[in-house]
Amino acid sequence: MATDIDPFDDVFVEESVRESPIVRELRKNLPEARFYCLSSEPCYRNSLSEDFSKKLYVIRFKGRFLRSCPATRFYHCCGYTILHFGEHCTVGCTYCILQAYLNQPYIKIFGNLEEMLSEVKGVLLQYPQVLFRVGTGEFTDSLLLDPWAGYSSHFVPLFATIPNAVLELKTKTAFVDRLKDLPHGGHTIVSWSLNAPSIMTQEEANAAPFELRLECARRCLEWGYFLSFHFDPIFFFPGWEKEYALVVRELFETIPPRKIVYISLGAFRFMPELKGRILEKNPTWKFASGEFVPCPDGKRRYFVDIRVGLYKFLLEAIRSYAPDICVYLCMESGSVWKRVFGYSPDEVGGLPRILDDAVRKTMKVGMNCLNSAASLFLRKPQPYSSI
Amino acid sequence: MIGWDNVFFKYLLLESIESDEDFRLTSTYNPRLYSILNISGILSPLWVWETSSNRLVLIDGYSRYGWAKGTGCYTLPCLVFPSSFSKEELLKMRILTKSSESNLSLEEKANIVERLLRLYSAREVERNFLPLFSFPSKPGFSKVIVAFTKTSKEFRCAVREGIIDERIALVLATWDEESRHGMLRLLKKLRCSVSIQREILESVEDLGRAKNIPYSEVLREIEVVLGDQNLSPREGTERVRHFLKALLFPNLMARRNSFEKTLKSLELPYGVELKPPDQFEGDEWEMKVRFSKPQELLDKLKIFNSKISMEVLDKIFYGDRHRSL
Ligand code: SF4
Repeated sequence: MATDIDPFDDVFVEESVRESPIVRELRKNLPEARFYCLSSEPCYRNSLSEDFSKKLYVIRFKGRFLRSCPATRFYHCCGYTILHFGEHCTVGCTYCILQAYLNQPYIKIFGNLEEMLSEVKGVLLQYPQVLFRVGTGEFTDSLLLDPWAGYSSHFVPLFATIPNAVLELKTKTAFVDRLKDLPHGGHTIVSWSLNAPSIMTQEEANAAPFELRLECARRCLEWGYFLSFHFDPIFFFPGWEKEYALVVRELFETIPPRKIVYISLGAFRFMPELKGRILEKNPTWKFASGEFVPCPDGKRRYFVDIRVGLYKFLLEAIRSYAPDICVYLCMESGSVWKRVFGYSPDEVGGLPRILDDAVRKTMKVGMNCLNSAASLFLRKPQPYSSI
Repeated sequence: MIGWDNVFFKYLLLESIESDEDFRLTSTYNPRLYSILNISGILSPLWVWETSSNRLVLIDGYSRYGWAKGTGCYTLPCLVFPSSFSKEELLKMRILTKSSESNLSLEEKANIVERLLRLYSAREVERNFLPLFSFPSKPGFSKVIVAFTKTSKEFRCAVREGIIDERIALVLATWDEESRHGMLRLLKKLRCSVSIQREILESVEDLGRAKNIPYSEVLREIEVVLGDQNLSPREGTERVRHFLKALLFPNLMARRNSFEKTLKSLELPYGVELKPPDQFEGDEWEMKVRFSKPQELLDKLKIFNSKISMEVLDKIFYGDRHRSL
């Protein structure tokens, strides 16, 4: 199992971001790589068989860096704000949703850092009454390029200065060294996705092994960071109970619950196109061939009774070690919440509120904030909620 | 540039012309063409290559050639390409001319692609030619098409006759021989629509993958379920679909059964229906009451209220809480 994501042989830099601190950092940390200048971003399609795994593109992003989590009106959304700093990932999880989502075959990161940071600062400080939970791991792994590009050196100190925001760095890597001496001010959560051991070894090709993820989490804890964990995507397969129970046990034997802000649970779900993409690469892949039903948001999910069974089991396992920890479901319906927790988010003010409260309780950030960022960004109505 | 100046017209003896499998792109009998030939005879000359060893090889006109043989014609009008043309050059001309025809069958398209791969790289074929035949221009897809040309005559015949949909045939072309023949037997028996063919195909693949068994094994189980009773194609299709659903969705089926049992035991008034969301997914349930008079509505709601309690609704909404997976 490789824990090092190979660095890049070729770095293509768009002319207008040539002087970016990100490019400077890349030049310093990739001394062997060839750097090329581009007048604009090239247009390659996914269908090309060319190998892009060792190529990195640094471009100027012209859209908005901050955006809301892609919610739907059928499932409860966490009201997360996405900081979009790059796209694509080479961790190589077989089930990765990005395979169906992105149509460019290479990793690209955004070099116009000044614009990015000033947008973040501008928007977040404009609404001091609003608590923002901001994450960078939606379209790539948050720390995948950190040893070379060093985004965390810019993001973490920035969030330390914003009283009404926390930053979540979501990863499956072991690339935490850079975080050690950063002034985080207690505003950064470092989080790891966890899974059953057989999934982590067989389906997450270049991710750090489980023990290493826990070891890194423990180091971050020593450096004063808050943590979170995501059991997502959870798979239903023979022996799942035993495997997930083991991971929960090892997690709490290594990490004390009081520094964990929240833990999310999300059963494997996919757009139908994703299944096709995965099977093209691996025709015998069995994990999309279970009891999956079409859902109102166009995705396929395990039949609801299976999901409830998975969630209840994991919730019970987690609560047996950490009775008060905030556990939530990612993109689930009110009735699933009700069956798992005994209540639906809309009955307690909505899921964003539950997570904001967890941030306030554990991190003591946003104590005076009255609203959730979901009230600003989340334009789609939530199931039966007042947002 | 093609050296057309050297090509000449000549009547050739039918028996002096040889066929060559490399040039034959159609193996199907075309009744429309035969009817036209019966009315008017051969209207356009066949293409023949005179090789350096003076053999006369048929390039284009295999159907006309077949018709002429059957009707006892001795001589055929031909355009003769002299030996200065290479076989590769002629194959290219033949393929590209054929490619421009509309309404090519899957078999013809596959034959063309298979020949193109002898002349161009797979990448060139996939990028430049596959879209011309409405195939996806995906890397590796030419292999799938070539696999189709290697399938049995019986299988290709079923595709030609429309018993198997062309897209489904391409998926089946990637299966192992035994499984493909199992599916061929089944689809011949069921004669079902394209959408149902696709549903059955996907279910068989899902079951095979989920249980890690060859598709032929799933198909054998289906054959057992169908038995040798004389079911109509429609009855057979329904039985197969039901069987596959029960295998693929045991928890959903159990929930559906328990939901129906609970509803039945309630004996709701006639015209009162409770409908769960599709596949019990999501939070939107429906209740329908059919009535013709205000009093009837009141009566039905009253009976409904008397039969429904929170406990019963809980069971209807959330199923049996204690059922394990
Ligand atoms: S780490 Fe996340 S983004 Fe990267 S391949 Fe795995 S699932 Fe995809």
